[in-house]
Amino acid sequence: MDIRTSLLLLVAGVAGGIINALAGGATLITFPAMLTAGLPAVIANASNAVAISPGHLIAALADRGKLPPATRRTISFMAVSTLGGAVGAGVLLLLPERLFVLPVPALIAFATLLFAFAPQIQGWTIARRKTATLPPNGASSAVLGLACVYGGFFGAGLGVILTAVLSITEPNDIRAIKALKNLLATCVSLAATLIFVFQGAVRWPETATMLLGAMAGGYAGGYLIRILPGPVVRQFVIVAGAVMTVIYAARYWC
Amino acid sequence: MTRSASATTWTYRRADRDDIVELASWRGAGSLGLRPHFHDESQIVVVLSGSRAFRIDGATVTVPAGHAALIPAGMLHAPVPTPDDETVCLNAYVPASRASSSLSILRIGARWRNADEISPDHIREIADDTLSRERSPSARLIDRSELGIALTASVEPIGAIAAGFGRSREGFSRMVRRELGVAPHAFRLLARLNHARQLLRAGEPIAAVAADTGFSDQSHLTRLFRRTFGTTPGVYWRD
Repeated sequence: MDIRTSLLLLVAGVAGGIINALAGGATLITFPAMLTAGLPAVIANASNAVAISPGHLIAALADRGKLPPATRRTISFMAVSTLGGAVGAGVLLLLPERLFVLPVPALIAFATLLFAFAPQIQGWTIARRKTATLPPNGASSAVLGLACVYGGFFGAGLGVILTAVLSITEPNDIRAIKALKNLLATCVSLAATLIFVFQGAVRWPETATMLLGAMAGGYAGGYLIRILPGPVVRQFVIVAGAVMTVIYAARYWC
Repeated sequence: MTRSASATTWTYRRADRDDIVELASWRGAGSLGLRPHFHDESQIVVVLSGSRAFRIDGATVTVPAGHAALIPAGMLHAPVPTPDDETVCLNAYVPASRASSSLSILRIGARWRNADEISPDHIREIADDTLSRERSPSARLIDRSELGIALTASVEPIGAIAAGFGRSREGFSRMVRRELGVAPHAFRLLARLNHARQLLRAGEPIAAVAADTGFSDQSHLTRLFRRTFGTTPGVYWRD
């Protein structure tokens, strides 16, 4: 790895850490950085997931006071998330390189749209919850499981999806939902990370460099939150995601 | 730059098959950085442990363990040294009869530990896999080969060839650099080195090869051959 590549990964990691601390959506920056560093797409995706995974963990720990009690429902949700994340990671590793490369632009576009419409999605789910009764346990778990399969597979925008799903299925206030979301995202990311590591799908020099940057960025994010407003960061992520969609569509589809 | 004789080099062997021109294997700490070059054949790089990295078209491409890459014939690539403790790698050179225009990477998993375990049939399989996703070659590629042929078919000065394309010498150099990745003279040198490699493979003595391909003497050929292909003509010839 040359100096330029190391610097790129470090800077992308710092940016990703800050973005995840303030708005979410780091993968839209960090995954393309892994690709630019020259890694094959599947390895880049797995390495990226490992490099930014500590962020979820820290977020979950930071808000642990709001974590739901360990009811049967919570524990079954954690189990479903872990299983979903593992399945998603397994599917990624089973997929031939060229079959993963094709949907990459669509995955980036999908995640970008999720971020762009996150407020609308959230507004809609909350409005829906007031009118409808809570769905049964089985249905909630199935939807949650599907979301977590996506999370283990690609992961960008998982937070938005989880918040939306939990807003419908859980009767709690938004802060508790966010805390539960962080907990479940951690389960997904831990399961996927373990599979990636043990299947040898992680390139450590690149991953370690980005991870270092991401931790510094996450730490800095706590201070920057006063001077960098979240909405601005969110708009930056949406623009970056749109640009990445165009770049990778041109590269893989044309 | 001098390198001790014991420094690791590429070990070449023939495959004695029509569909594989030759094989080259590497085992040792991160492989050598070499000068940018291309081959007349398509190169399949199979990495069993460690990693390989190349500079291609201004970008770095990493081939991690458990992956194979196909570098099409004529594509300029510069191997970059990698920091791994042990890299095990097999290069297979296959005839470029089947069109391929872009670099492709394929996951092969941990099927092999040793380069010797990879049979010619496995290489065929990998080649088929990487080529099956190929799109038809672009019009630009035809431009490239036209340029390459013009540069190597004659020993005319670059200025005369430039005139044939209706360009100034500088304008022509820029076009060659853009399309082929190296300056006209460097491209010619690489083509001569490839020709030398082909003659050595056919068993022609080194001194004769050096003379036939326009190198001033055997040591001149040896120096450039090693910086470009990672082994000396002598070792290559004996293998």
